[in-house]
Amino acid sequence: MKTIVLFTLSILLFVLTACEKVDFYEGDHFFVRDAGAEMPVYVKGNIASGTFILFLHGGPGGNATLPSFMPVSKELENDYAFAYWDQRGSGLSMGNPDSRTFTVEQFVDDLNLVIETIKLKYNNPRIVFYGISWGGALGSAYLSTGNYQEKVDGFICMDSGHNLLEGIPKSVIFVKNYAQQQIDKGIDVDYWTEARDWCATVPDMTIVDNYFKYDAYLTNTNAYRYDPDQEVEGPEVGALGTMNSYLSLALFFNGQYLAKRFNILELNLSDDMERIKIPSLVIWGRHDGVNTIEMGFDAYNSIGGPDFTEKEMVILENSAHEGYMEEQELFIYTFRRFVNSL
Amino acid sequence: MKKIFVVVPIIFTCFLSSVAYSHESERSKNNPGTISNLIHHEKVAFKLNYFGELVLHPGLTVGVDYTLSKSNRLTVHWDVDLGGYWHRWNNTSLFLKSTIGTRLAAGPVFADINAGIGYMHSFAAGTIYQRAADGGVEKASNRGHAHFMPNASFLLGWDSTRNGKQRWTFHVGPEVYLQSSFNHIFLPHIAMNVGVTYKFKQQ
Repeated sequence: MKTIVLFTLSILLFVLTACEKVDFYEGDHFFVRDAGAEMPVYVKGNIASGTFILFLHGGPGGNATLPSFMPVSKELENDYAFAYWDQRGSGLSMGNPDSRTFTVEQFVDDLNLVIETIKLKYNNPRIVFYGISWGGALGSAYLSTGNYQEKVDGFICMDSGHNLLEGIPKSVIFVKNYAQQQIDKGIDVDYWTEARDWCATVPDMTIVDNYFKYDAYLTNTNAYRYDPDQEVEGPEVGALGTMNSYLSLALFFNGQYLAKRFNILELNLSDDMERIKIPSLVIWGRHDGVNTIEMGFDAYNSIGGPDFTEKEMVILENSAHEGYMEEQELFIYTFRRFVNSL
Repeated sequence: MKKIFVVVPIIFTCFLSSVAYSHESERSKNNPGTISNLIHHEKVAFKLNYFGELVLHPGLTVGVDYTLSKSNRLTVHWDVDLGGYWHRWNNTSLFLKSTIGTRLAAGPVFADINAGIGYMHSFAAGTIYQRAADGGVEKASNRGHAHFMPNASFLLGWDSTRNGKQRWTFHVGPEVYLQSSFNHIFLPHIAMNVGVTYKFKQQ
């Protein structure tokens, strides 16, 4: 019997000490509560720099938590503090927010609370938005609202979905062209013929069912990764890391309820973005099939209007939607150059 | 409505459990000390269990295992467990669960399949901030969230009570449970159980 007791105690001791491993708990964290949601914010990197990069994740329904484990993030964290905020109904967020709170206005309000909390906790640091895809749209919506942009020092807008009303039809054309290429190569001809013919009907992409049908085709293209065979450096957290960090299975299940109920298919912020008058970097993958390069030019032209000069556009020539991994070194260089210039 | 959905099954299970216990306690009502009767009842074992959410996030449960029926190889038992765990930077949770289990024994080795329901209360593991009445930001109280917690586990163990001399059993195995409602879904969890039971009185 002593053996059993000793064995049990040994296991207990092992697991209790294992959870104290510091690698995955460097930095700080807090939660913000707003309209039924409790949303975590993980702060990592160089807090002493006084510059906070507020990462706005994609989706809606994605997460900021996993990108925080990416080498590109860790590299940039040497220079700046990164705040990884999981939005309502997404990532590791908790609560049961009513679906009526799934509006752009509510997300903007949540973001405002995150910013004010960071300013309160960290003695009013400089804040730079880094928004990807839906995150770029959210950043654009925030900066176009009232005088909110006075709280933010810079805006990195990457592959953003700021104007889906015009952008998704362009992505449908991308799918159609990709389908034709596959047919020409004799690859999965039946499937791609069906996709091409459906896209050729110019479906109304403000209809949710059409969106999900298109999205199913899109994920089978190279819309996200220009070269699907390219070896990239994704999040460095394996199964053991998942068990020994603040991650949970919520990452895989959260967001599903939100994604089906947060309809942004008619989102068009292009005109509103003329109000943005803070230094901005528009960074886009030349071959992005999700938010195509035309929408990159639209973002660049829209921010601050035609006479605004504190903006620049960088095109990643060998990237699609994940340029931060596909052209990691160029991305890091561009990122640092912009933030250091503020 | 959601609270009813959570509370009614738990009350129902507890009711069934109390009926089972009162049935047994009838037999010993002439003996003094109800708690003493419970502790020294031959069908009752006490449990202490490491409950590792995602294996490594530490937790503990204490509970009672009550034998409902027993044959040479098959035992049906009802368990009630009170416990909690700490998932650093994520959440701290407390729970009360009730399960029915079937244990198949081969000598001192057994396999145990359990299913049940429970109540879970989870708290964000960190400081919460919210909008203050004056428009600023303030720290918020952390009252947590109530959840329904259906659960199932598969345990393998060693039953030293079968030789009639020892009073311990040892078990280890995975448990899956759901947390509802969590962003309007049943959020799955995986946990690892490692524990012992102890009987004050042998059958």
